[in-house]
Amino acid sequence: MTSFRSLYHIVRADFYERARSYGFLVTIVLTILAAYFFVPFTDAKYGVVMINEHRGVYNSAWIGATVVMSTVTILSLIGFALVKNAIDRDRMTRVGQIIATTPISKFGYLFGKFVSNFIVLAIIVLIAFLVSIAMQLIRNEDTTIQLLDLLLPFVLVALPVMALVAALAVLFESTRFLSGGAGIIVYFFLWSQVFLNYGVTVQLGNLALSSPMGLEVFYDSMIDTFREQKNVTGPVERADGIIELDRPLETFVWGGVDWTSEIVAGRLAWVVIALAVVLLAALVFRGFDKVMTRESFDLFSIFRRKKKGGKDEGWESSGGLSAKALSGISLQFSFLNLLRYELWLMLKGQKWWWYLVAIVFIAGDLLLPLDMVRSMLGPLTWVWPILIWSSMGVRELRFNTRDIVFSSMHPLERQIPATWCAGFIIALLTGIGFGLKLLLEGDLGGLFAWFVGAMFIPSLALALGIWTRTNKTFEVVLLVIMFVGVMNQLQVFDFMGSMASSPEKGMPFIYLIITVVLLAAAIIGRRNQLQR
Amino acid sequence: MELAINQVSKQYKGNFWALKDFNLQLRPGVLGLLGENGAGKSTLMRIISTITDPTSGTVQWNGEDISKKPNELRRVLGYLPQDFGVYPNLNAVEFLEYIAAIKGISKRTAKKRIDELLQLVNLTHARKRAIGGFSGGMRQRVGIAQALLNDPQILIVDEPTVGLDPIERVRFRNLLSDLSGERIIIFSTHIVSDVEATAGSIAIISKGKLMHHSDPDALLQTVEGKVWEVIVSDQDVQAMRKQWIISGTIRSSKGLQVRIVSDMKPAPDARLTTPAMEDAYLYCISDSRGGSRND
Repeated sequence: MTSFRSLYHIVRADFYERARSYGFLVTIVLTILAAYFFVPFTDAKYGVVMINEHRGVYNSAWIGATVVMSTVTILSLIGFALVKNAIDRDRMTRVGQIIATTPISKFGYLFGKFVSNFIVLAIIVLIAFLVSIAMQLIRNEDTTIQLLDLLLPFVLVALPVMALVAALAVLFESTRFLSGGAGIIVYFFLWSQVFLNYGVTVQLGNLALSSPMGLEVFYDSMIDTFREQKNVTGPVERADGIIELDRPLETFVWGGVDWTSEIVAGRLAWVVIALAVVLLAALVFRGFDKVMTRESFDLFSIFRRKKKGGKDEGWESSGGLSAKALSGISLQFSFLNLLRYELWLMLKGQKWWWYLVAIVFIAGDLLLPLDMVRSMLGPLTWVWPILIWSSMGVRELRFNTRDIVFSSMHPLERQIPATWCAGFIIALLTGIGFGLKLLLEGDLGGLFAWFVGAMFIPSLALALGIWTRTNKTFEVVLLVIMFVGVMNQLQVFDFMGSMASSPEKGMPFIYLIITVVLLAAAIIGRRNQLQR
Repeated sequence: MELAINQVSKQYKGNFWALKDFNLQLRPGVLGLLGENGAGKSTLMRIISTITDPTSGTVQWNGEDISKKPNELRRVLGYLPQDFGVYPNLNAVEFLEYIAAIKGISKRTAKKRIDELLQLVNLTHARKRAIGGFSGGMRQRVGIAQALLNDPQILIVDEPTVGLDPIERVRFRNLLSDLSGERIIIFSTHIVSDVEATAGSIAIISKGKLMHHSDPDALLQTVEGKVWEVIVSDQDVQAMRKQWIISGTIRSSKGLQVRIVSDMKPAPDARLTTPAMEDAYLYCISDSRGGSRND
């Protein structure tokens, strides 16, 4: 009974904390927008879910399936970032130390976190479900609401994925290496390479184990119906993503997935797998009894004699110095001095191998063929410092230095430019290989785009950090831009000249304007923070 | 050099007033700002430190409204917040150098000043250690050092002795005394003995309102002839707590010696005693707490 009560209170407190966050609201808005765009106008010149350039009539089954597709795609990534802070918050607020002294077991604690993660995500799924009803009525093609056709995709496909995401968030937070910013990057690769790409159902006896996202459950059924209705025997092409069209898509009538017990069991298996992941998390979780601070690497420390730390000698003496004897000071602000310390603050604590990999990227950018650098190595080069940039704008809040920094002179006029310049310099230095390559190849348009890219990244980091008050937003957004956009050669995302044709199409100018807008947003956001 | 707090009020969400029509004029010296937890001390400190704007009223530094010209005050401000963090990867010197750069202190000046301040707070031996591994007391001393970096004319220290051990507390009080002179120091605390040892004037705040402002002697005068001692049994104490302001109890062989602050004699065998600062403080805030002086 006591355990159940503890569990209930962990779930409740955690849920309230998350549901009142800005990120929760942003995720809901993004989910609604995605749901809206995944059900295009009946005469739209773009398609999202297509079978041989056909789409289903907008009945409950089709709308339910496509909104679920958009929801699980978005929430499996952004939802992870949203909920991956439950244990970290307990650690930062030191509530964890109180929890550590209570009788609740590690599994009980982590299970509570899993449940609250799941509830947060399930509420967003519920909102997406309500949006799907609205979309069917808005698109007005078949307005008969078949509640089960709409609901079952949410229950059987979306919720099991959310359970898995909720459990993975707990596992990542419980694992020392994955608990920080590196976890977001590792998860992103898991999401982009496994969740998005792996879409196969495996038959295991009476169990049809679908992929985690389960999108192929819909596609298989849609293709079968399409073949039947259109008498197609040859290969059928399916497509998803936003695809431009010459004319509106033709339609066929899809009545939804036949939810056999095998498919249902295959989906529910992911809930069981999610619970197993929580169990695994309990095995690796170290609790709150250890101080999880790590000695940082100082690049130049190898040239210095190691100083012995020594314990605190207390404040029993002031070395014969009296406060009256302190020397006077005169203020003489130097922007370069502040910039130097901003750079220092960003780079301090980076491991030696971080610098080594950054140098390897620079060398690779210089030595490899330009096409490869443009499409692959260049973007990767600017993913590498992602955790440095993501602290911009949010550092004062994260380390609670806000009151000290903001009560200093001209925090807006001095510190914001210095922080931005430091981020810009890091972009220039880490991307110098790509820049020089473009210069050597005589591609001045590309060089200009690269330079704009170097300005865009710190501006995005600063604006998102200040407005969303977390470093995760920038990390997710940059990873999506790079891996979903730039590396897939989607020109609209090309902020850094990764496509040779981008300068001609004016992309650098567009991103220059976006950069200015982001900087303005950062300044306005910081001003708001200063005038509380 | 004058800091004037005029009719300052601060309202938070839920129609909660942390400060209400607060007035105070400050000149060089140490002001002890006394108040219980949640009295509004930190809100006042944050308003004076230009971190929070008041809902109404003004704070003027040498005649200039700090909401309109915050940098005039920030130039000469040293602020030790009640709850502050550090960048854990930096060592003490690096952290102070960073804050010095933000405050606009040149590199050369900062280096000398930081060496002196680290000596003053006895952290020279730990100057190259990452602050992330510092104890609470050491971290607090780094906070004190950063507040003194720009040789402030106005020094605001919010609950600075929390986290310090008794020796460190004494050191800190001495430091404040040394620093007083041609600067305004506002020392916010709920520990009466801290204020008693350092402050030239004392302001008592309760539920967002200024209850009293005077020098320590005048504050003590408010309870002259109103502090009583009486010996009672354990059972009687609980009943007395409901009826009187009890500022202390000492167990003796005869029973419990209870110290009562009251306008009238609380018991036939009660006898007057010399008032202490704690008595005056409890007396001043008793009205706002709904307590009884039985006058």
